[in-house]
Amino acid sequence: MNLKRLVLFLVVVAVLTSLVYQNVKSGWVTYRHGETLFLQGDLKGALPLFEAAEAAGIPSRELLLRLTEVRLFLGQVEAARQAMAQAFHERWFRPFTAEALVELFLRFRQGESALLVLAEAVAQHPDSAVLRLLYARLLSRLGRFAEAAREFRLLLGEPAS
Amino acid sequence: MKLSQPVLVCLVGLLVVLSHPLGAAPPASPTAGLPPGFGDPISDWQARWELAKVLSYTKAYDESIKEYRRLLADRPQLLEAKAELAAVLLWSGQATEARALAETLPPHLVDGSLRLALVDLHIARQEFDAAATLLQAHLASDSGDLAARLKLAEVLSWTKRYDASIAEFRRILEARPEDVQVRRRLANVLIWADRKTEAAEELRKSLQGR
Repeated sequence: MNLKRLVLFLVVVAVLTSLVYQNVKSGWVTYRHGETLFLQGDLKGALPLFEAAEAAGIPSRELLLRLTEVRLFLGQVEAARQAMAQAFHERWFRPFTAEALVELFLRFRQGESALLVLAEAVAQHPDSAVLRLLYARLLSRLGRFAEAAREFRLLLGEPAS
Repeated sequence: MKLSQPVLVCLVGLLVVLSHPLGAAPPASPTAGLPPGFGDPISDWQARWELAKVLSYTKAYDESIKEYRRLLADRPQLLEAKAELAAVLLWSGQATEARALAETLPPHLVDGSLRLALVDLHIARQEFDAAATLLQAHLASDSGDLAARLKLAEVLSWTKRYDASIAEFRRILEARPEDVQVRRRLANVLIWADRKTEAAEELRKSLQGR
């Protein structure tokens, strides 16, 4: 009786593992393939692979950063901006990843696009200090010092003079 | 009907649980819908430091100085903020205060431009040793700053440390062998050091091609 149960348990584990592996494997293999092309400098070739990996639902910080970098390099600013906006709905997304994304936009002189995303996020979540800090820092990096000062004052709960 | 003690305890417990607001839905978080981490608080000192910096960029020096002072009252251990305050004080024309503050800092924390401005202040007051120390600290982090090295070479010569001064002049000339003015200054120092043959050689080189 015990042996039958053990065999059944092992069969269930094997089937489940196989199903999960198949699903996970396809996305990760695509991502790794894209990464190889990226490192070889073939950004056009890497883009569809990264997009396929994203569509497969790989929750990866590295994937998002790579995808954004490739899109910005290829001039697909709007797609990069939308991906950044979407990232705020992902449970794995974190402030340091948002900061890294902002750096990428700045590197490609597209800081204003990232600012749009952050402005929208701040409008939706005015009580998120982390979001406002990111927004204020980006304003400062873009040379919009007076606006940045206003945001920092808001963070301190002081009148935004 | 008489209830036993365990049943009574259970009933009281049930009443307590039902009357407790735990059963009610929690109030919506202001950052609901955002991933974890975005609802974390930010330290006031962090925001104040960035505010002080940004105000200095807009040349709102008085406001910036006020924020730096508030920050440092709360966090006196922030030596980098203190160094920045010294720079803002200098930019706002409060050179004496800037210098006093900078002197309380480890040399490596004093910003390059502030350091050079303080060097000029020391030179104006004929405090050549202090000027040389600041210049040496500056060159330790920026060895390619030939203007600072030239100033160091001169300061060393004014304190009669001729060998050290000559060594600095020669390092400058390694990078800029065609700089006639630097070569002539070196020749002067060689004369002060009573190394007249070498001085004549440097003067001859400075006249070549003319």
